[in-house]
Amino acid sequence: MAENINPAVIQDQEEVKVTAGRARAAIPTADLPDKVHTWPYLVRAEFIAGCVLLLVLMVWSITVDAPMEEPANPTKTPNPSKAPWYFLGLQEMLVYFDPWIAGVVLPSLIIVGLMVIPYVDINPKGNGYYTWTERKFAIGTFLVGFLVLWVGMITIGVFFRGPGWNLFMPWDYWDPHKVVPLTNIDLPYFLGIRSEMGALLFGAICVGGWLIGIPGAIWQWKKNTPMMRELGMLRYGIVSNLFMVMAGVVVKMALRLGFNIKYVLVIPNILNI
Amino acid sequence: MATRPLELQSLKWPFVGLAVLLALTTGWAVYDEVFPRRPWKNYQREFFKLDKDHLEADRARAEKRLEDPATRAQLQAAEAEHKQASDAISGNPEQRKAYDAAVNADEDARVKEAEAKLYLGFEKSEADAIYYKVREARHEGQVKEEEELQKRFNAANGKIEAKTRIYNDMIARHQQASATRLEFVRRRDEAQAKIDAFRKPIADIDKRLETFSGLGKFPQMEQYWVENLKNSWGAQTVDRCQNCHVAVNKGGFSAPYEVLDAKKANLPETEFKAQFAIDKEVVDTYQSIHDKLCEDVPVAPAGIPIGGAPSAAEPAPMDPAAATECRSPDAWKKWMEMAAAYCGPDGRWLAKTKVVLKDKAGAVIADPKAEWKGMARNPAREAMEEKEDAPAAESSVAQACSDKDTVAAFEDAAKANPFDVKPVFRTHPHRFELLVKSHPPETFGCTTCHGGEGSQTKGVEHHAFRHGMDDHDWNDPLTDEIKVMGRKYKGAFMQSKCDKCHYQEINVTYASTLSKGKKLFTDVGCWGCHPIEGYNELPRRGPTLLTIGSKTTPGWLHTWIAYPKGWRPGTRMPNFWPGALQADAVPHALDAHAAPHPEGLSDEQVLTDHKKLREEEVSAISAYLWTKSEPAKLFADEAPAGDAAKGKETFDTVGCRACHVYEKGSDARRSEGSKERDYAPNLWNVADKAKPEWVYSWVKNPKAMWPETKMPDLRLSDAEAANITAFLMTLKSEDKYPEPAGYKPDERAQLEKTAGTGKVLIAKYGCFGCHNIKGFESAQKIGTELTEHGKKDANLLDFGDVKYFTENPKHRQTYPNWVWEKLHVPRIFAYERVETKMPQFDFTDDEALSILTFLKGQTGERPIAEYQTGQTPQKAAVAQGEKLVFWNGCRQCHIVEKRGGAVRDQYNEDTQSFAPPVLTGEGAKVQPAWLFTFLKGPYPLRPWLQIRMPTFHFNDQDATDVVHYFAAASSKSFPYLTAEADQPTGARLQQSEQLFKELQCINCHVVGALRTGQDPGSAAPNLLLAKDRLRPDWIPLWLKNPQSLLDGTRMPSFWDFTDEAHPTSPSKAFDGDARKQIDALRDYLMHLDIKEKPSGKTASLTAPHG
Repeated sequence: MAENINPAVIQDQEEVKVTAGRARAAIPTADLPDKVHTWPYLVRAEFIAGCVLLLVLMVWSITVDAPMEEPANPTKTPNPSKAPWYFLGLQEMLVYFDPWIAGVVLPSLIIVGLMVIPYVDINPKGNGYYTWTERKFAIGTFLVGFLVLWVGMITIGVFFRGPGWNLFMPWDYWDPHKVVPLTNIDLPYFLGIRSEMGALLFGAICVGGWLIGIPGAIWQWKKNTPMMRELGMLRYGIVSNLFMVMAGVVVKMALRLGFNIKYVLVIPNILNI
Repeated sequence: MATRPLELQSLKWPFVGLAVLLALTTGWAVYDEVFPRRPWKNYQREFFKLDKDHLEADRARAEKRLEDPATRAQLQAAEAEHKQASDAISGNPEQRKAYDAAVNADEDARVKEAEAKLYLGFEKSEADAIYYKVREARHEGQVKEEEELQKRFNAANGKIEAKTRIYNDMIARHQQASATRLEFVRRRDEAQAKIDAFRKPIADIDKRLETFSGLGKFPQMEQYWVENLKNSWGAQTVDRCQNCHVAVNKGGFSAPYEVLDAKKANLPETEFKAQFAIDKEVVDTYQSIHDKLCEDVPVAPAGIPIGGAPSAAEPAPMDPAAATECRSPDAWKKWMEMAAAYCGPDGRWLAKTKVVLKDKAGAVIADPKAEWKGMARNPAREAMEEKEDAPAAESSVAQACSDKDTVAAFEDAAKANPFDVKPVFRTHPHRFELLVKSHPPETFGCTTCHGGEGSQTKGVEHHAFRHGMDDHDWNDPLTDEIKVMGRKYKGAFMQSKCDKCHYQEINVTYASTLSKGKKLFTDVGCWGCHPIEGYNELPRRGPTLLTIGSKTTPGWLHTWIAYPKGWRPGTRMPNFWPGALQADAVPHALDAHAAPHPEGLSDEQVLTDHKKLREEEVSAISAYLWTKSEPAKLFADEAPAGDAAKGKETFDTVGCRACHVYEKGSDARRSEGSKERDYAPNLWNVADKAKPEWVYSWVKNPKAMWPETKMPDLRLSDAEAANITAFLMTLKSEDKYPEPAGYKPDERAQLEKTAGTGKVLIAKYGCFGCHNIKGFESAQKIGTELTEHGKKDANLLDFGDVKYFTENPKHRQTYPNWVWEKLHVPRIFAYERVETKMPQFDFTDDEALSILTFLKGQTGERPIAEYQTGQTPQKAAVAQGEKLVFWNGCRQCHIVEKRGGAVRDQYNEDTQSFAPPVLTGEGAKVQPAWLFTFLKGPYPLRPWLQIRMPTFHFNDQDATDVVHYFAAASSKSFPYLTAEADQPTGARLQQSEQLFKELQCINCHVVGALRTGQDPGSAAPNLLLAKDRLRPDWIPLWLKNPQSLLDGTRMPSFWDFTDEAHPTSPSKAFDGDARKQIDALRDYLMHLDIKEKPSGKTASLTAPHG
């Protein structure tokens, strides 16, 4: 460490040494420098947190045993067959979407979306400190996406899904024979559209309208505001699309749970949304 | 004051605190790993202590035995002798004078012997040198010199002789001197050996105790790793059970009742020692305590009847008035524990029978023993009425009372009780038979039979250890105890596991419930409707209905189909309309709850509806059977007139009674699989059913009327058949069987129409599963496949609307509960959408348990071939033969390999010799070729017997299998053998004849025919048959000791073989040599002339089937 000493650092340290010494109890906090160095001030606090975590984990591992489950038996499929808990959000999505959407498209979009954040985030505020008011959209979107959707669906998957992947309250007996009505229906059919072409068109309009139409209209409406200008059409397009996909998941869940809607857009053997 | 920011605080103390906590936690982790996570170490330590205690106690006992004055005196004498003998060798000079002299003499003799040897050598050497010169002179042709030298050589040889004599003399002297010296040593060693003999037991124990000395034994992980034996999910078996069950495969820790059983069975001394390793005194103590705690179970009869020995009558319960002496519940619990250890599960515990239990108020607690007399019942309903969670009777016991003597005996026993082995440390029951001999754990593991999680050694999540059932249910749970409808049955499912490897065997030793289940399953014909591997090829169980019109009347047919048990309670045929029976109207009936019971209908309405339904369906089915029936090929269109009294006599004597009875309500001939079902129909009301011409034809040759029947052909003459027919026609009840509407000739068209509905119903109920019915020759079985039923998950079973199960599905919807309920009330799980068709068999609890055990074993799992039984031709033959013996009812007449002989109840002590022969060890006795011929066409071996060996019309394969079975069961060769015996000639023949006369063989034995005036009751088998019939190596064994081959035989043994080396003989023939006499008799018998050939007669064989 001694080789690459930065004079500024030394200076800062000395400054703090003076203030952090034994006799400086009286020094008013207002006199403190605005910023302090990571080492040692942050690291030692993190080290304590690390030690506490280690302690908790050790005590936990001693006192709570991993549950013994029956051995894997190729001749016997457990019911329900649950993924590890951290994948149960994905498994839960399979209830609402076609496997291709739930298993391939949406997980890929989650990764892609997280990757593009640095490139689409043009808000310079909130670096190095916590703020809600200055980053309402970013934080709000994250909370909905992570807590409500991801964690929420994991919770449902872990605690509320029983045999046959049916919904059970945690206190319910998991009756493997529970029967729930199978009345799911595609949205166009629900709205009275009987022709295949009509259904296809209607579905395409709904999905297209949701993913392109609404963001496009907002772009037209707000494109002259400073924020939109700074964002630019490409970045806006990416952000709005990702956001609409996320919101779409919520809408689709609501449609399924509330109205037993199966799919909005059905292209047989190719794509179901 | 505002708190200072973190940057300004000293974090010294948090760091110190955390460091301390982390250090402590690390220590905790190590401790946790070493102690709480390895609880089996504590078990091992505890066991080591127990083992050591036992050894020390044994040592103390052995030492104490030495204290006994007589022993003491012997030991002291031996010690004194030893001292004297030692002193004579190594004592003071005075004492060892003689020995020293002997040693000196010995040494002296040795030196002299060596000296003699040396000089002898010198002489020889000299002679050799001279001889060399002789040869030299000869070669050089110096004749004179050669002569000279030859003389010298001869002189030298003379010297050698002299020296040799001296040498031999010296050797003898030396040997003598040595013997004198060694005599002293021998005397000392013998004395030492005597002392050792006294001290050896103690020394042996000391050797074993050595392993405990010093730091002692350390616990260590043990495991059986069986690579070839896959467990329930296909992985290798790894079992660590013996880490806690340390002594499971070690002798010395068996429960006292097992030790006493072994002692009672006169187990050979060495084997007893190896298996039980228990001090004799302890065994005696066990015996005395056993006598105090247990009542003797009456001895079972020699020939075990079909279905096992009848359980002896239960002793009378204690009279509460006589129970004056009372003790606390704790004392009583101790008594019960001791009874379990000393009397065993099959013993009679006086703590149960001679004790009256009272509750706090002093009232007698009654034993809630439910008794079911073959009635169908509804276990779910009973369980609900009984209220499962009511406190057990045991918990309300406040006092246990009995009479003074009993209580005193119990208390004495408790004081003297030396048995301190906890169940976890006990030796495996029947260890020698079950483990050592047949299932060594190194090869079979533990979980293979016991289930459970073999590699787990600790409970998880702070639950007590439950052998793998912690947290989630193990998919192969421990089989120790099953809970069925709230009742516990010990060990039943363990027997299910036997079926994995022993599936070919119908009798599995130590698995009586499974064996019973197999037999009942076979006998009652479950496989008629349910496809199940291994049973699918059996011939149909019920009589053929192709010719029903020739056999009975439509009226009877109606009555019968509607409710078979109403007409004949012991029948196997089930009831297809259980809902139509009123609980109190007919015996053996079930209430309306046996069938789906729609809401809002009263019991009466349900009953009425079901009765109406039954009427319609029975009419339709009868119509179909009747219209499709063809005339049977009868022997006579009308039964010839016969004499009923004579018929009865024939019926009683000729062998019909081995299978049939004709007393109303008699249960003398029950099936081997169940005490509730007749082996063959009870004939008390047979005339109600059968037409005389049918009966006549049937008794003449049953297999001609129905090729698959088990009933054999007794080769009745026409007159006998007519008489029996006449007799059977007298067996009728008061009942009338009016002809139902529609059977008049002019109503035929309408009947055919109804028959159409009948066909649909027959297809629905699967009647063709048991009966041959026209139009259903190739119909598929209608029931669920049972081949892998035993591993069915409970959630694949439909528990219907039965409240008992639906209100607590988690605990009550289990596989055993479902099967139990289904067997008792087959229609119970039906509801609006699910129709169940299984008929009502009225299974009792015993029967249901045996079938449940059997079904649970049907998992379809088969270990690799070398684990399966029947891998040797001998074992396979025994397994196959047992099936044939069972199917053909051989045991109805014969005691076959120690079991059976039902018909013997027709004979008393005096007439025993008229009973069918005992066939235990038959394979060692008879020649296979003869037995084959005999089975194919039996002829009277003892024509004076009235009971006959019937003709079974075995096909060649079955007859071969039966013969092979007998040979294999006796470990004898199969099939061909040379009946070799020397032809006696000349003097030997004369002497043999003389001996034959002298022993008066023909006093009992027949040669050819009965002597005039000979009492047939005392007659013994015809000796002319020996040649073709008996194995030559069997005859000497038989002559030597008939009792050992056939217990209770009247054949005397003439020779006394108590001393095997020097047997004695009553005869002087062959110089009184017993062995020579026996061999001579054998040869004589094997060449005895056949003067006339016995002939048999048999009825026509139209459709042979075994």
